[in-house]
Amino acid sequence: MLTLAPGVLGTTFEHLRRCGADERECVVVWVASIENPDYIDEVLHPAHFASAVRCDFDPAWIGELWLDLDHRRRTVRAQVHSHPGCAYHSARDDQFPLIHTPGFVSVVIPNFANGHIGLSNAYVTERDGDGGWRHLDAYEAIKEVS
Amino acid sequence: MAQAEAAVHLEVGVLYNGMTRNVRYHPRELGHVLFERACHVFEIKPPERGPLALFLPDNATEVRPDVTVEEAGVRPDTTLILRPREASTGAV
Repeated sequence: MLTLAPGVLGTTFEHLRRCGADERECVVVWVASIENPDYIDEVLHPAHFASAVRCDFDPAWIGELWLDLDHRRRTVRAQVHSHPGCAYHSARDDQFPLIHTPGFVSVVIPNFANGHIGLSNAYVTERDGDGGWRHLDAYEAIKEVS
Repeated sequence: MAQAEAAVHLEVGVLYNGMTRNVRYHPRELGHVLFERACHVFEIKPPERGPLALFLPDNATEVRPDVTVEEAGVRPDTTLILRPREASTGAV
């Protein structure tokens, strides 16, 4: 289970709403320390290319991120992106996550993140050991520390 | 001489998601062999490897899969970056 530090969810929605501006998808990544990888205490808003129906990481930014994380002993544990309508994992979401290793979590927030701040309508899935994805109950997979 | 050359195995760091793992290589093996070995170290399954590539420490020059590691510019005891080659991720 991932635990979100206070403010992580609010900051996540703030980025998705402001950058997406109700007309584009947006993405953020949740970051933790190497020593305590299930405790998310940082939200990063990556360089990305977005439209109403897609959101692509800037690949050079990813390389810079790896160097920064290595320097700070941090790691990306999840990506969170918005959809224009309902939340689900598209075939492209399945194929092109930021991270390809088992245990990586992907969260999709519906309606360009304009609903209430929370995970009740989110789609949460986790990379399994066979290169596939396993759907998770949002509240069993992620909890927020108030 | 040839036997001594065949025995040469060097090490390079590979960085992925903030973690660096050491990967052994032979300077005369092809770049794709080093790439596959690096993916294996990070538990990235073969079907998931398509969008990824190894880059030299400048984060811009791809380690070409079709030339030897040495010709691709890989030097021992440096750190390569494993990342997507092109922009592509989530979409409806």
